[in-house]
Amino acid sequence: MDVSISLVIFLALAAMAIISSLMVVVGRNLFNAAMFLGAYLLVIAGFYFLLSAELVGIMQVFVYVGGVVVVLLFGIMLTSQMINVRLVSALQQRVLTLVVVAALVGLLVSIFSKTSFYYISSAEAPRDSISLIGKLFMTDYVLPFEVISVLLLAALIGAVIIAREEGRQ
Amino acid sequence: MSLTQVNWMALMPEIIVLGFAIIVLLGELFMSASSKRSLGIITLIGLAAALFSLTKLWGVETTEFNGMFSVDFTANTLKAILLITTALVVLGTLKVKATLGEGEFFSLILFSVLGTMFMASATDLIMLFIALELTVLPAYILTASKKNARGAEVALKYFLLGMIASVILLYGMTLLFGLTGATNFAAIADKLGGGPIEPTLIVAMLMIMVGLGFKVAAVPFHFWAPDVYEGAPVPVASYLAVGPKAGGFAAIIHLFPIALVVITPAWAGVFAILAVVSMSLGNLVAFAQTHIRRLLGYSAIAHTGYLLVGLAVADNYGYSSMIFYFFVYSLAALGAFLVILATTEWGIGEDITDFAGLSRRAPMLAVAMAVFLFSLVGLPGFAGFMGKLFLFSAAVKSDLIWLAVIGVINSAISFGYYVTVIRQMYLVSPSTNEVVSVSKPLYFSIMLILAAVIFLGIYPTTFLSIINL
Repeated sequence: MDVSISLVIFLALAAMAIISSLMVVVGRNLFNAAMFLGAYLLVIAGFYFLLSAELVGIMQVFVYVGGVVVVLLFGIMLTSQMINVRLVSALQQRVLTLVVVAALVGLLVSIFSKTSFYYISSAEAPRDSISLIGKLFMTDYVLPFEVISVLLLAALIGAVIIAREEGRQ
Repeated sequence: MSLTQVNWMALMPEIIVLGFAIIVLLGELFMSASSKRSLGIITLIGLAAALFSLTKLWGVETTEFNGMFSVDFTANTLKAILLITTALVVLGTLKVKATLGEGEFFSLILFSVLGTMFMASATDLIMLFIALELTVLPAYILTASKKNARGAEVALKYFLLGMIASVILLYGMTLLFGLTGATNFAAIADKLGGGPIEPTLIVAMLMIMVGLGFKVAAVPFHFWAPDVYEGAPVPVASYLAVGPKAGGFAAIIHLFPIALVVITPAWAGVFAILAVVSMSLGNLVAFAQTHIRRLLGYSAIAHTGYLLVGLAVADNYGYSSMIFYFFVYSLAALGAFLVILATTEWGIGEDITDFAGLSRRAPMLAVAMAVFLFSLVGLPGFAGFMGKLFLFSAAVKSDLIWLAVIGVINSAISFGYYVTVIRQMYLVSPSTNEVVSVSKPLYFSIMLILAAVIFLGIYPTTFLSIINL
């Protein structure tokens, strides 16, 4: 892809990401915040596609937008008291929050503008990244891949334990 | 690389722990209520088998899975300490009424142990992060197992703060990857060596420190520790006092000296500052505590401070002293938690005043508690003294005399709040003279720890020769 076109797409995505994530934080309505979170996660998927990491992008849409945000919305809808609640407790320490955020942004901008990052040319991106990732999962990265499956098993047990009523064993 | 090229023997302890975790979990599903009592025994057998297979790896230095999984001296020692202390927790809780089914409780503990073992061996950022999550996720669940308002509050606090720490850690890791294009510790060190030191590298280092500092409860990332130690069920709190901490220190010992060797003075300096504030704040706030487990929580923060002295020294002598101190600290802290478990099982409260006259109601428990607290202070004759001796002498050898002095002053201060517990047990008369009886496995476990603390205080050489100090 032409560098200038990808730069324009990147800037557009970045602007959308910043706006939607800000809306999640400053919004006073939980439902709106959840919708903006979904939008933000979609934009992140856009970044992955821009970087020709299709599999990660698709997984981002599947898992986060299709899974996490939908479950979040179900949670809001099923707990009827939460739909129209104005969240007043958020941002009690407004000044402190702004200072910390500004400091963090300033720090990151200053280091990013000076640092020369390890550069991987986009021309080297393999055409068939999915089968390559699959092979790597089963060879070089087999150990983390297997440990993640154990982690998911533990999470599954935990979900059952936490959701279960006390006294029923 | 194909799977047949992997030396599976190097992973045998982990494979055994995983196998037993699944066996225990299936046992919960299929066994009758009465035979489920044996699940604790099965867990113990699993831990013993893992420990045995670990002894076969003693002295072996190898890496597997393209350098992701390292079997080395530090990893082996920390794994052995972890397996021993977890076995003592399991032994102590064999006859204790749990808030969960036996199978769930023991299998979650085994999963967490598995994560910690992988963390001890991880020499790759991806592996390290996944192992860390596997360590803490069962800990969150175990903390949440008691479903009252306090338990839920503590579990949520632990979970949210833990997630924030993980995210900051991950941010630091991505910066490190961005700088080097590598996730393997040795490869990162290779890429960083020679080039100029970027400011980003320092930021990445600090972010990783925040993430791992949370896991070991160093000030200022300590807020969760007293709450969790107080609010979690006692058997869970006993495990949390040792297990996840071992993982955090194992990760720090691998990551910083290997991957970030080019900026050793930077991280050693920050660890020295963290050590001083953790020691001082932990000890000072502990004075104000009236709840025994909260007191131990702040004492744990102070001990994290002492342990960080070994990292501030940043040489092999410092790391070995740190591992030795970690062992003696975890024995004493675990012992104190098990004594609390014994008294709460009998219905005694957890305020320090509830321990009044324990020496008359349960003489051996009171003796054991006193010895554990003396060991935590570091009185001569107990294991804690030898631990602190090596740790502070490591600091002196590396011209960090001021750090050693602060450590010694802090130990002296800490005597003040430990002794209030001992005073209650021995000098205050009890409200009732009813004798406290303890279940046999728990009593046995406490006595084993008592023997170990006294033995290591008098003959530390046997253990020291194992860890080459």
